[in-house]
Amino acid sequence: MVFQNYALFPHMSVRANVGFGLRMRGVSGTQIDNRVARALELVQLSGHEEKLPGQLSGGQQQRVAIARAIVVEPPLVLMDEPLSNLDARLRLEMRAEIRRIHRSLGRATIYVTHDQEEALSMADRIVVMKDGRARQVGAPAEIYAEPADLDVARFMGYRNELAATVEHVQGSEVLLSGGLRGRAMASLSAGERVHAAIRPEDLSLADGPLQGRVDNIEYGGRDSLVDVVLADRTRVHVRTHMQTRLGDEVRIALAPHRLLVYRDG
Amino acid sequence: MRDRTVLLAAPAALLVAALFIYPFAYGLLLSFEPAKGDRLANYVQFFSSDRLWPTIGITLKLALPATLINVGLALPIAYRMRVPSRGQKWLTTVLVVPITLGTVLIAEGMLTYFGPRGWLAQFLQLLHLYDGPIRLTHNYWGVLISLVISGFPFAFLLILSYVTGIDPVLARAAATLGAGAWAQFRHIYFPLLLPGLAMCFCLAFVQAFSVFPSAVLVGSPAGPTRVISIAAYEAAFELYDYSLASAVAMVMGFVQLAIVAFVLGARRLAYRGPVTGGKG
Repeated sequence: MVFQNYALFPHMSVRANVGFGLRMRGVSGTQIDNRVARALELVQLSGHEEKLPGQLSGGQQQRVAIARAIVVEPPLVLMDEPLSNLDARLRLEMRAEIRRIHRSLGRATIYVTHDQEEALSMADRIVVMKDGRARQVGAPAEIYAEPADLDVARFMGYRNELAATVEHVQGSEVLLSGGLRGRAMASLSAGERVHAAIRPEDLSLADGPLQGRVDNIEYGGRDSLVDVVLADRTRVHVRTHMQTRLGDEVRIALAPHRLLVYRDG
Repeated sequence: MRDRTVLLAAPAALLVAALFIYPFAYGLLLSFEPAKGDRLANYVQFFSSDRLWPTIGITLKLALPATLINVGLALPIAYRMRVPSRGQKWLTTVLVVPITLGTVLIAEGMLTYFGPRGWLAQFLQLLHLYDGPIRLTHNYWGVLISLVISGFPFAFLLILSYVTGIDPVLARAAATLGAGAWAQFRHIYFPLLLPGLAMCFCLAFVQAFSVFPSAVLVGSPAGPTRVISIAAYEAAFELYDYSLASAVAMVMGFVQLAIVAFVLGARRLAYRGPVTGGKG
């Protein structure tokens, strides 16, 4: 198990930390040394054996924690938000690092995270949990494209939600009040109250069915995240390259088939 | 330019000098000005008198076991209470109450309870468990029991704060790596507690070494529990030889210092860094 705050034994050297599980299992001294050396090699920390955890950086500490967890060769490795304490750059590096370690170990790893990007980039299979229940199980691409319900959609980055009523259903295509067109994610019938979800990336400031006033702009380098407040006070996030100013009246277009329509509740 | 903010510490330093260093230095100088004889006469007298120098051994024989018992008893109890549980508040209260009782009160209670015709003796006789005489007061055991009663809460509170300061996730991590309850204590808690235990030992020892009221009230101050503070008291207030009394007090201070220095020196061998396992 790899803990969120590493939980390294502060009074033991890196070698003793990694070897602890083997010692508890009564493995002989020379064998411990060999296996610890191999584990440290795997996480690229050879040469740091005699240091105390306090002398290592956050990323190194996390790698010691990983080495300590895998050296006992568990059938299953559990990682509990192992990267949440690292800064953004290190987090990206360690993400790739953990993928690499996971591949070379060939062992099942359960990786707990609240970060959808982390989940998508690292997992072979994702289980989305809410309130203690598994809401959806599937490959990253599957969950990204077709979230099973509104909660999963929210977690996968569908930040915009629009309340509407169904006007017409044709196969999987739904026509909603306000001139919105979406894809039905459940069997719907005309007149039903629904919630439609869409990502900021799938909206653009162009001629479209939505209209509102720019309320906030987060500059993001290549593009900006613009908050638009609609007439019914719904707040919509749009990712755009276009220059806008606070208070501008804008129209918003939706990418076709990217608006997912869910039944209320 | 030199950093003048250091001067801000001056008032505090003066206070310490006035309240601690001055009386100490005064006593030290006084001990070298005996009523008769050369400068070292008091110390020569102390180490050559059968009435004086054995008090060191007598006091150590009381203070060391009392300290070991207090620390040794407080450690497992505090360890058990590291995780909050029902009734913990009550147990802590019961364990800590004796700290509020004066040594004199404890001594009086002990005379009633542990005395030859005290409740304990009557109780044991009633149940026919033990019919022989019970001699737990006015001797060595009386003072030892009194030191444990008054010293335990202190050691317990101190160790409890050290134990609860250790991140429990460390023990959980050890458990996932196959460490049982005993191994968790031995490999995780105990090494991290050692510096704290050494500190607790020192404080408890100094407290026990300066035992006075209970040595008189529940001990036998003429013989087996004639501790070093009694010798100092006699010199000062029965012989009115303040110079000799100062010398006894200096010896007393030196013995305490030697033990404390030894324990703190040994403490340096233990790990003394932070007791959490990474970023919080």
